[in-house]
Amino acid sequence: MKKLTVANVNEFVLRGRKTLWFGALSFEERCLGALRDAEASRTTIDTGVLLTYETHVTPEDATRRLLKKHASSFEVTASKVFRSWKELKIDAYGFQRFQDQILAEIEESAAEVVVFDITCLTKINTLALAALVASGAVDVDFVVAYSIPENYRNTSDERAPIGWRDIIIAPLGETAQLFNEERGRGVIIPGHEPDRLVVALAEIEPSGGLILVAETDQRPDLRRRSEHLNQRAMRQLISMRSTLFRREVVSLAEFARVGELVENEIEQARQHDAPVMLFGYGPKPLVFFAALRLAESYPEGAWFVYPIPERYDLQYTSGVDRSIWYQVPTRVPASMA
Amino acid sequence: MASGVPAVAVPWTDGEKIPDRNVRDIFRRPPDLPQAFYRSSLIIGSRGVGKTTLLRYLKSTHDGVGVHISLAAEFATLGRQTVYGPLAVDIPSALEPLVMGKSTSLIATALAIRLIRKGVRGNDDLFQACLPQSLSVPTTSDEEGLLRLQRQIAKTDLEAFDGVVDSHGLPDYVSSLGRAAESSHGPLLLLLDRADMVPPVSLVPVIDLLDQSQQFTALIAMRPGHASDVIANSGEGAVAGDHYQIVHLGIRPRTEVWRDFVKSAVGAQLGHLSLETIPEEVHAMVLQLSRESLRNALELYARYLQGDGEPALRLKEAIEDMRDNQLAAAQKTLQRHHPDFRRFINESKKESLNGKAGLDGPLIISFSATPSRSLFDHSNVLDRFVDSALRGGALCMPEGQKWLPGLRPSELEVPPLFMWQEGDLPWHASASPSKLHITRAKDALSVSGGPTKPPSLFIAYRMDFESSKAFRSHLEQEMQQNPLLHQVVVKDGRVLPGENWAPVIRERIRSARVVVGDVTGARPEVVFELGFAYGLKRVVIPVVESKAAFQDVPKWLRMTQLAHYGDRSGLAGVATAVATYLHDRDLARQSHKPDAFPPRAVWLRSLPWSEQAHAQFISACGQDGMRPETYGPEDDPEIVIEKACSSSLLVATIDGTEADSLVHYICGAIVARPSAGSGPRFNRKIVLVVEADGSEAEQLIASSLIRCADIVKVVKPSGVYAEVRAHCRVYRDWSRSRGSG
Repeated sequence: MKKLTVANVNEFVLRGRKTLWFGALSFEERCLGALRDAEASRTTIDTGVLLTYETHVTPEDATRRLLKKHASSFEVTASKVFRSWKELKIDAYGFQRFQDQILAEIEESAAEVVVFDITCLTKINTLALAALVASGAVDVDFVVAYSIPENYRNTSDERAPIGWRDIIIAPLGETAQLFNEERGRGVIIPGHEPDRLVVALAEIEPSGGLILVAETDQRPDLRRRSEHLNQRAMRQLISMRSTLFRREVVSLAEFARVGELVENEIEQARQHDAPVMLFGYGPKPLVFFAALRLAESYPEGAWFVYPIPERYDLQYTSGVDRSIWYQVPTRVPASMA
Repeated sequence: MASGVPAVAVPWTDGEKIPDRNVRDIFRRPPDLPQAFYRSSLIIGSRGVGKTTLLRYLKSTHDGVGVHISLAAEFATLGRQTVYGPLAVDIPSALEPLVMGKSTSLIATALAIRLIRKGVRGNDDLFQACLPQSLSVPTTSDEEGLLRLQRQIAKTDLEAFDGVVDSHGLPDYVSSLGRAAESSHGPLLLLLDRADMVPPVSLVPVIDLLDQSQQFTALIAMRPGHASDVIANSGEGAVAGDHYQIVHLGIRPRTEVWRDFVKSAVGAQLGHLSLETIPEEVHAMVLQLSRESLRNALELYARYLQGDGEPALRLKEAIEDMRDNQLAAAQKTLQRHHPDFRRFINESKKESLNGKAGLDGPLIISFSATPSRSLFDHSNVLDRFVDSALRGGALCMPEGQKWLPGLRPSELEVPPLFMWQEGDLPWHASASPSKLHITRAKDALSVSGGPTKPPSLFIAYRMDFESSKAFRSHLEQEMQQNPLLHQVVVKDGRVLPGENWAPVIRERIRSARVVVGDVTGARPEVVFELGFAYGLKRVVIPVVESKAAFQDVPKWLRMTQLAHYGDRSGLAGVATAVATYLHDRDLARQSHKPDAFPPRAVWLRSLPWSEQAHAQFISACGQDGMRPETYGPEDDPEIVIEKACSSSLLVATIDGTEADSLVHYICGAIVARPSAGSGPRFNRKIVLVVEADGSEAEQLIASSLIRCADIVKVVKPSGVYAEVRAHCRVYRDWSRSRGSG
């Protein structure tokens, strides 16, 4: 995986090849970040696919207004970036169905390069995408874009708490097994929703593993806040097992290191035919990298634990800080200048 | 740790984690467990009571063929395909038979794989009846063929499984496995674990296996409350207590025999010598708070015995962590059934304490009236709440009471861990429970009880204008006559002589939910206070003296719906707006109020006399990675407010024109939240640039704003560069700092 600028994407990856772009419309302003980045660098892409999905977001009226506003902005920008574009309705919490839909679009487009803006995909869609890329089902070059928000919602202001309506514990690949759980490992990526981790750990708890703490360049506060919010859950998890957990701080650009760290967990699990569970609640690029490596290297033992929110809060994030771009190596490595 | 105390091993708090070789050594037989399972059974127990360890022990000691299967693992592809998990209560009815069909195929194949490894093969025709027509039982008797079939089942669309469950073929197929096992190895014991981690409806075919008439014994383990109705109404007539027995582990957690069992089980992992060093009151507290959970007891004992610092402090921290995490998990998974479970618990506790320092026994919530089951009652919602609470350990069955599928308990106990507070003493052994009666179902499901603080309203008015003063008193009178508003506390900016008025007023605004401001003439003080309220994310209602005054209000203020107080209907409109915002929290959250974004530096209004300073601002920001943005009267006021209010550095020109009002509003919002980011403080800064000198300049700025000397600097254009550079350096150091490490 290589970190790129949007200019690199133009010059080294797209290179005039047939390109398909996916991105999700959302109430979050950052859903437009990567597309605006592409527009600013005069990138031209053959086909755009605007993914739309239904989730419960409150307050509803204001959400509708924002969605409409973002859809209008998308149309304006899309007309400058895409030669053509279409809308595709997806299930916000689909895994296999989501993969089938994406696969069908890629096959129909005969694209050589697929750009995926994962910013406003749900985490379960992101996991499904990583599993799809890892499966090698599509022989294309993948580029992933992600927009960092200016801020996450301040949960101390929370006046309308959000609950979790279900918890999915499932394999990333089609037929992973939970054999030899006594030696199972966990890859935990804490985020800004500490309840998500608490709820997940109340269902299934790894006895050892890797804790990946995200560091966003120039935003030490985001990491501090995440650490503060997850402090109690982490303390209960590792206080008796500090030797069994490894804590690593990684930046959003360090996908190679994330890969190495996850690989290390995989090796420990593989020796005992044990599963590796992904508790991916932090920034989506890290969740995507970790899931990609797990699904690619250890499809027989890679799992995820995903609490599904009852609803989202309109003020979940604000603004767009910046967009980051990555080239994902596929089974047929792309040549880079 | 005190010297001489043996080192404590890291405990295996989950049964799944215990290595095979250690299971027999670690297992302790729970009180009330049957000596042997001669009948198929549903084993009920809350999380951590030891269900998995029991099943693993039974497998290791079974004289015959024992198969231990995690249903969570075997049915996981259902979750991947349907994205329904154990808490799913809203699976569409059309999907239910498909899920049941697929779970039939999955469990049949899982058993076939496990048993073929032991050389046991069942009847293929009966196996085929458990599969969709599109899939076939492999003809060869090797494991590889079955594993291929398992992968095919995982991939096959749900629609293909239509009709599979209707044949009810699973018990017959497993019976054929049982007969084959019996003839070659001995009786077949099926140990089906983690039934509480799969969608309830997927359990329907599994429950059929409990019918005692079959040629095997099946034990299914799960938490109470899970799939209650699904199991109770399960189609093929396997009836709890009749066709199979119910074993509920840990139903007498306060008996001496259970406590001895827990100590023995904990000692088997941590070492009995370690436990002997623990004072009796610590034992009493740990066992009381753990209730029936061996897992919790292990965790608390282990943290008491191991780590840095005083054992008592470690235990306190361990209890707090456990309580808060479990309460958070309960609150968040019960959210859709109960608006605020944590508050329900706190209020129940407060009510039962009734002035006492601490509870001296368990707290029982009692639903004394059986709710009628009409269309409009809350019974179904209450049932779901109770089932979910039992499953998640948010509530538990009272001592001595067993949970059965379909049971509608009239009493539930609040876990002692949730009731714990620092300083509590262990209960006396003979403590009798406190009972809290809830007579109506809906009372359990709403946030009630306890006096709530009346909301307050802040009125920012022009103190030196009679009409504005009259507005303030008329609005209060109007509200007193309104049944929705008569309890609202009305506050304003008047203070007693000698009081430091700025912090007093800010505190009043901070405590208000709605702020009404008379913006007639856009007086700096009033606008600043409204901005302060906006920064605190309070509802702001701007009003003017009359409709005619609308046109004199600056453009940026006219973006908001303005009310007027010039006549009775206008005043009533203001009161109605206040009532609406106070009672509709969603409406109050409509507008987006951004938090500070540390790298953002905003220059508001570049004027001819400030051009050079503006250029210096751009240059200075760029040196340290801050992002300078400039806004002026030509920009959309909504965007200007959003960006400027989220800046960590605001530089704004003040020239005594109408445009100064927007600066005051934005400054108010920044002063309300004077730091950016979280963690080590990064203070925001406002630089007000004036052309005039000294007191002349200060007259242009609201007194409230000038008083914020820690955040506000008033400078001439020549002073801008130094202020900006200083802030940028602070930003640079802050942005390069790292987390807590």
